[in-house]
Amino acid sequence: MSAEPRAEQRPQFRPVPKALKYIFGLGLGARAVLMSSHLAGWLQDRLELASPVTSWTRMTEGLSLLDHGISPYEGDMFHETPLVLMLLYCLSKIWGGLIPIFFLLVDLVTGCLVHEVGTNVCRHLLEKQGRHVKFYSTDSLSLLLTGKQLNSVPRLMLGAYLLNPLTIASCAAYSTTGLHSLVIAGALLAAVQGNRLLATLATAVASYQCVYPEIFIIPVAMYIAQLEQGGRFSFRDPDSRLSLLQTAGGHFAWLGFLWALSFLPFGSMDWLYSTRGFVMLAPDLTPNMGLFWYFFTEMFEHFRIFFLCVFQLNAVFYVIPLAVKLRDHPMFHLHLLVGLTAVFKSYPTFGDAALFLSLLPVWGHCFKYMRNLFLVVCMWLYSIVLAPVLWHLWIYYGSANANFFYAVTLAYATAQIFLLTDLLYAFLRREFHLRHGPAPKEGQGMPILMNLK
Amino acid sequence: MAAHSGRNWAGLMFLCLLFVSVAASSNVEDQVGGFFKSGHTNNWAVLVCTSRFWFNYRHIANTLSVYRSVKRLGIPDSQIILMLADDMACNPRNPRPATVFNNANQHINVYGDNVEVDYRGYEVTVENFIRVLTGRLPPSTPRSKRLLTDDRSNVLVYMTGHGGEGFLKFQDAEEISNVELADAFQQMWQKNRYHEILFMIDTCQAVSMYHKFYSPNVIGIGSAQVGEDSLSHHVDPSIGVYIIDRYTYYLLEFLETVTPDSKKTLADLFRVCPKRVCVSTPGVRTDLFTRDPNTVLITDFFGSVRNVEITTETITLKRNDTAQLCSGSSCPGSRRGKRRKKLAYANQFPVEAAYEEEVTKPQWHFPMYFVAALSVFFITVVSAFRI
Repeated sequence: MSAEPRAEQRPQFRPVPKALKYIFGLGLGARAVLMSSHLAGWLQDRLELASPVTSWTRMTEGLSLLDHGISPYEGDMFHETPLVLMLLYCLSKIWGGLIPIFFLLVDLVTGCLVHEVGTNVCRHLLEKQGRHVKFYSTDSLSLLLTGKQLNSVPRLMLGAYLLNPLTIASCAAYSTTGLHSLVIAGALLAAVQGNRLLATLATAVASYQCVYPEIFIIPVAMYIAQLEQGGRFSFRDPDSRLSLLQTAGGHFAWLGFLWALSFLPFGSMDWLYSTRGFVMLAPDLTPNMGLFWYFFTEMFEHFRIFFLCVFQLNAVFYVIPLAVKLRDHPMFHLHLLVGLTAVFKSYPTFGDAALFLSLLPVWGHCFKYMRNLFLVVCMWLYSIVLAPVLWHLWIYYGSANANFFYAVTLAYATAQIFLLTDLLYAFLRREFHLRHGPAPKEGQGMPILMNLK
Repeated sequence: MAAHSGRNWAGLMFLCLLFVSVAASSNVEDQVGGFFKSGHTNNWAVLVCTSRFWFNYRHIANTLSVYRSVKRLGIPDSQIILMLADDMACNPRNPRPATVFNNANQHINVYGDNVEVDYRGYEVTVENFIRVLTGRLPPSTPRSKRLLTDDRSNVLVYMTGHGGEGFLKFQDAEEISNVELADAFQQMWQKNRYHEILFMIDTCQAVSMYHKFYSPNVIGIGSAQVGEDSLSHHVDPSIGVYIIDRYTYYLLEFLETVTPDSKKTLADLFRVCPKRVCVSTPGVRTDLFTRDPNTVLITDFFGSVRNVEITTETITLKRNDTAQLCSGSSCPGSRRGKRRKKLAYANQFPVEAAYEEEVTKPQWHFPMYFVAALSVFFITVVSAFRI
């Protein structure tokens, strides 16, 4: 008589569908093949995959410095966080072959997390639709989401992450961008599940690891407050404000915990200047796929602080207007922020943008309103292909110069920005059509043209 | 009667012989005296071409031709400073690489295996030229780039390029003025760096460059008066540019007739290239020169005639075996009983020593409190989510 409850309490493991098995196999297999080929060494030094923060070369340097008893943060070479350093040090001491396995695992787990994000966000979208359907126009039945439509989204997201050549190359290059993607995906999953403790922990870990996810607190706090308050959420409501403050407080508490943990190995907070300080002050101006280096090489020292503030503000500022506009859609806001930070951060790599690309399938229902998709795809492909070519022409042949390479970087950034703005436009337009029907007409019966102002 | 005539003849013969011997001895003395009249003991030459670019081929050819003559007449490379602002022999536009000709018939290649260029390309600057003349070079300058003259040196300074009234253009980027040049020569005088200078310049308005000289013992020869252009001689259609200037062409024609024992004087040199062949009027300045140019030999400046003093004393050199053959403790007079350390080559790569002591065990371990804190953290996290 006590057998049935126990059976129910046992965790249910769903069988993994065939498609997922293929995706996992292919993705991990491609990574393993690339890691063991002779291209791995070349990939490790590619600036498109490895920034001064995430490069494996610098990580090995840091590990060997640690071996000699010197703190890697004393110099200007190592910029990864202490906990990651500790983890990799353990792994390298146990067995050197654990490192490739570690990076494969990181990508595997990130893929699973992205898959779970997909399922959870789709469920959240369906729930939200269910709650708001009474506000929609009767003509917009065709625009509504169905479960069948969203069935394939998690698989698509997994495939988009694991089979993306950018992430495959990034993994084979042993770049810690994979780790950054892991913590950001973790933050997205925890956010959508709505548990304040878990969500704040996850965002704290993400912002500990890569500095820019600090701004994720805002949509996460709004989402959690909305979950708690239901329809009564408003910025003026003291309960909502309390909820927001609690989330923010939780985030900073966890962050403080992590900082205290990082203080312990070396007994000093030097690492803070080397990691956070490095990302925020951007002193390293070797060319990378970001927008900072070209400007700062030509700048007078006099104006450096000013422009640094401008650039960093540009990277984080968009959270505020988006929070105002997208206050009812914090999940979309969060996903847009992932893309925004990938473009405007001080040392981006291809892996950061690839994570945003893998989040796109969940917003696939907006694609039909996107206007620049062809342009964006073309610009993406051009910039990804031309970046190493023009680098080679510039550095090795000397027949190009920095302007060529920076132009490709600009094209890459422009492609991402177009994607973001187009997605935002498509999303907002779809919301408008949901409320006003798919082909709204104005008073005299003329069709209205939609524009994003 | 015959005996008297015989005695007369003998006397006459004796007188003749005496006369001849006296004359002959005075000739030798004159010759010997002539050795010491010039007052210099060594010859130096500073040959400067200040133009670059292919269309200034003729300036390089000018300088190299004078270099060739000066070497042929005996000045060694160690006493010639040759400054060429560009490399025509290896210029990609040269249809005959590794050659420079000064004549359309291409009889003589003035650039061969035996040419030692001391200042080449961008090293030919006004600053370097004046430093060479005054001797104020950085300590790291090699001997071949120094003008190591003393107060018994006769210096030939030949310059060619593009000039104007009172200046000479270097490398299309800067210029030297006649005042600077005059001051440089004065510095040389004050530092006793020359005995006599022959300054030759083949540019447009060349004579303006020696107008400001004020140091003694300087002769200036210019190829064109102020307001006149010094013209080039002919073009070589197979090379495509003018390959020699008029003044230098006729100067070379003249110098080819000069041999190391030639008696030609500076007066002959001044008559080289009259207006009817040169189109420009060469100018000469001799007011600072103490000797009469008619008595000055060409080889005083263009050649390197060394005065040799013959002495009849004999000097015996002692054989110095011990100094050459002993070494270390076997030498007489060295400290006995001092054991010398066996010498060995220093390790070329001292880093190897560091590699040899491999890091067998890591010098950094996880601090215990860190491990404890980490485990506390994990337990907190896990328990927080179980709840």
